[in-house]
Amino acid sequence: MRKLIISLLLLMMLTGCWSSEELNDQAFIGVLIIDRNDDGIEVTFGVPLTTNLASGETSGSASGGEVFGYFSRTAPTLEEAMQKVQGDLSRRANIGQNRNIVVGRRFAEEGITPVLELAARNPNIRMNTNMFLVDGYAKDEVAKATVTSERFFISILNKYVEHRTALQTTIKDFMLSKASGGDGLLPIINFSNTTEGAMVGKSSTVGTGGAAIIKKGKLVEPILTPDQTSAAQSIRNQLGNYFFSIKSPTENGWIGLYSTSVDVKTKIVKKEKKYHILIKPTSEVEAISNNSTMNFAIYEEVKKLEDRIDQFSDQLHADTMLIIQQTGADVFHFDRYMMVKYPQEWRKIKDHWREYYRDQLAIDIDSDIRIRRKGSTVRSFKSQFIEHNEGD
Amino acid sequence: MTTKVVTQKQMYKYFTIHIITTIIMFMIGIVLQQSGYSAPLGVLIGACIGIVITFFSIAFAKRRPDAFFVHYGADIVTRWLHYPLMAFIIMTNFLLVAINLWEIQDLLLQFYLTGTPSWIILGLCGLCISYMARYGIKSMFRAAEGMFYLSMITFIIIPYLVHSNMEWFLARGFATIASVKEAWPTAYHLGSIFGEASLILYIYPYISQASYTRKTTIRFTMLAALMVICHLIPILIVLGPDLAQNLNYPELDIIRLIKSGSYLETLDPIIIALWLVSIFIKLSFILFVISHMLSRILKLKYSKPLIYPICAFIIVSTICLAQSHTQFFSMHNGGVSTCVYISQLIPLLYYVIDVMRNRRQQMEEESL
Repeated sequence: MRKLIISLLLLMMLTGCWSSEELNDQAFIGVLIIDRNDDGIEVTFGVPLTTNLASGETSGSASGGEVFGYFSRTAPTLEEAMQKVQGDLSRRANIGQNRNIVVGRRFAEEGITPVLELAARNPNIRMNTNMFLVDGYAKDEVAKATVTSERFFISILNKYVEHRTALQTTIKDFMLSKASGGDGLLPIINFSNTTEGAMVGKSSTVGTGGAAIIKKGKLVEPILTPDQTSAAQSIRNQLGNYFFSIKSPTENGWIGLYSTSVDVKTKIVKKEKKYHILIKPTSEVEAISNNSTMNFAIYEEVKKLEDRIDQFSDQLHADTMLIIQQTGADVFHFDRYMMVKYPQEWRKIKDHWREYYRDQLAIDIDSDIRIRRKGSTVRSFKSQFIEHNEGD
Repeated sequence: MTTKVVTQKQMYKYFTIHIITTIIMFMIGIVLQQSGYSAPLGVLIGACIGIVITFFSIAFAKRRPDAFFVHYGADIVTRWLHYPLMAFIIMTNFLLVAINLWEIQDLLLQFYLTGTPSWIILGLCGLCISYMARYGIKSMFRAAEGMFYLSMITFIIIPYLVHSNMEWFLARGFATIASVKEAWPTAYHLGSIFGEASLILYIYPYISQASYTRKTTIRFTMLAALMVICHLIPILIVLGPDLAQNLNYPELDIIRLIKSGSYLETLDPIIIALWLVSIFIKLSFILFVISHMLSRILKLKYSKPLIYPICAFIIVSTICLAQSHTQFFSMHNGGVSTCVYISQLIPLLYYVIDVMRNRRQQMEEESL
């Protein structure tokens, strides 16, 4: 009897290839690009062309062929367009490896909800898929850009997120809460022309830009500048390396500073019957240049400089928040702070949260930034060498 | 007399796995939909309900520690009542296995084995559990002993792996938002799962050092409740209540949120494999209990030959159970828990009648 069962079990193992996924039959989608045009929605699959990837090759292309291909079709709905693209592919499109979705401006203006719905429901698309916006027709911009620093366009996007160069917004960020659902910031990928960017003199290259404000799944004006985007990144605790300069406290020159990371604490408090969101960025910065006569050895001057940095940070954060708040888009989902801390009051205002957020919620910023290191020299180059000589 | 083959430690480990696998694998989505922030409170109340039910079973079993309930039950309530009641309990356990199998194949088909016919998956799962059940009562408890630490590690490691995604300020909601009213649906649903420990009654003669059973029950129920809460809290803190409520498998989704680029990014198949083993252990135990009861009712000497036919029957009924997820849930919400509660509380009826009879006998003896 036992032998019979074992042999039966062995027989069962023959069915192991039922759901087989042959590597040679797969087209792994590296980036999903979605645009809207007059005929409907255009879906583009960015696929690494594995047949052109010769082993051992590390440069852009091997044996003359392209290593990354774009396949696109237009249809009235997202799903129909995807089916049409699949119809053009000789391999089965596999979206399980996809980590990036890029949308065009017009699509974002009319609403990114179809993408959010598809990504959330389809078990093959992960909820931490990154979203980007191209200020223009995404497919055209992406397809014509030259990729120089990495092998594939997708690697650049992945590195931007990994190194916190760009703001990271995932599918999940749009669906964190009901009251502010569909609100978020979409980082913009920039395609610079020939005079600026990663490879000056060549055709357009990829870079990061500002960020677009999305309210209830639709793009709303204005677009945040790169500086404001950095402030937004900092509020979301994503700001990594950041260079900036501050006017010197002593005279007209300026002081260059560098911060490796910003830690932001956010909370909600009730003051005089009004709710305040308290944002507290803390950071330790390094001085990397001193184009003034300021002396880092004098504690009072350093203290003054720290106050200036705090002011600068407060101002940048406040300006950014003001712009975002005026649109009524709760991109940082502050409603969740209110929900957990003041559930009673929350129930009263949750139905008109966006109006409350826009008109009544106070946002206070209290930066605390310290100068940790003053660099390798004591006095500035100017005061030590140039002005010294002038005195002679 | 039967040999006492199941130790208290084995029972502790087995029932911990028995309770947490189903809850964490399949129930977390429903629990969050019903209770949101109140879910942990619901788990605790459910655990208390489970302990009460199990204590009744144990108290009843203690009256005849060396005999099987299926045997002596007929002496308490007459054969005409005993057999239909046993049939009801058997059918409920049947349904439990079928529901679990259905959920396993649904999960596997949706995420991993797209394209495989469901009867193949069910057939293989059925073969595994019936093979294990055939080895007798010892096999499940020994397997549970082996699996216990492994599954505990994964159950602990998941919350740790997603800790970078946690938004701690959301934790305040457990104190401010949770309410008993919201927690109740969860408590009711999970109470029936915690109450499954009352199956101890059917294997009581196999348990060694039976006097410690109650203590063990408290220990494994508390551990299981703690493990479930350890999973609910990260899900709520990572995803927030609104998003978590909208997911069918929030547990899988938070595993998939593990930072991209990390080599543990594709951890979910490993977790699924471990879950499957744990749930197989559970299902073989229920299958064993069913076959055991049936063989006693049919007055067969051995229960082994019954296992394959029962399993085949379960698999066929599972295939016919539901054609779609929606159909399955519309059926599942409609009273399966109540059915399970009734089957768990049937021994209480016996207990009451038994106590009353004994009293009357005593009184009669005294009056004589």
